[in-house]
Amino acid sequence: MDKFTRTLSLLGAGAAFVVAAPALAAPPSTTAVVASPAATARAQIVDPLTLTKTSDLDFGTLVKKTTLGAAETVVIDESGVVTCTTNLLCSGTPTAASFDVAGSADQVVKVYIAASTLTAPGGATLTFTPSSSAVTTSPVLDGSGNASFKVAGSIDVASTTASGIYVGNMDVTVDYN
Amino acid sequence: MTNFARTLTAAAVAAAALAATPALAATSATTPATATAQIVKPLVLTAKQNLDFGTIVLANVTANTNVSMSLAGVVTCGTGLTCSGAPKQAIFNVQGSNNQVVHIYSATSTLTGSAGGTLTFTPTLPAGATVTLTTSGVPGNDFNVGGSFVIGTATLDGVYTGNINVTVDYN
Repeated sequence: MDKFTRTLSLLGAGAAFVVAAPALAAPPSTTAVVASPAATARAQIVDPLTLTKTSDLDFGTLVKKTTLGAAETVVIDESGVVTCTTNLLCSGTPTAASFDVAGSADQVVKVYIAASTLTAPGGATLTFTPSSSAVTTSPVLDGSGNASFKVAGSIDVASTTASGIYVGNMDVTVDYN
Repeated sequence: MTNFARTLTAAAVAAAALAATPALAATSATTPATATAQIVKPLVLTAKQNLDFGTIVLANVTANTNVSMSLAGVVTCGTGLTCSGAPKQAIFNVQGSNNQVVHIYSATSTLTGSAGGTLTFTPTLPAGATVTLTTSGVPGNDFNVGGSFVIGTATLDGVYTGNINVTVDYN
């Protein structure tokens, strides 16, 4: 009887030997995945642009011949050379406009030029139509961040165009985009 | 004598038989438990579109100022900066097992400027930093990543580039 009882006790204790597994901590992940090739981030940071006029545009002196009738288009090119027309005489010292632009090195600069109105003291006006290779071929700032460009253009002169010195502002804008 | 011996033998056998009976029969307990293993396809993460902040002009920087891009690719320029150009957010594609919730993790990274100088880029992840897969493998699901960096008075101009630190995992 004694032996039998003892045996049962041992068995009772044996039941406690079945131990529950402890809760596992989250294992370190070996499955995290990266993109290959990696995605990139880009930012272009630039200094503000400055635009400085170094020369105004001047067509020089245009003399209307008596044979002048309908409007004739007088063109000045970026070298400052005026192409005179049949019924005008051109003289004086014509010059193209020139500008210096400064900003961040190696950047491409877009040039925008608007047509403008030239006005004489009596109130007569002429329309100035600008042209510049810088509009079609954007200047590129050099290693020091500098570039320059010229502006040329044209005006129409007719026999009815009043005499006078016609002056107007030229709207030139530069931008990185 | 013989009878007694025989009896003893029988008792011994009986005793042996008793001893052989598994004593556990009266006290064992059995309970069902389940073993689980989730088998999934490996995740594949691809960069579909790189992030581009566009052009930032240092108009008048007098203090640290933020440039940030939303998940939709909209850039917000801080005080003293002018932002332009064509900004774009990063777009990632992730593929794996259908219906799985994928966790997105990110860390900052360094953008290096073409004239020297560095910026610290901090990615912006989708809300909840998860994306749920709706296909098995191809085509997977896309998610956007934006981000931000700080410009200071000493920040050099230049084109800054660097990698975006984003990983995905099932857990």
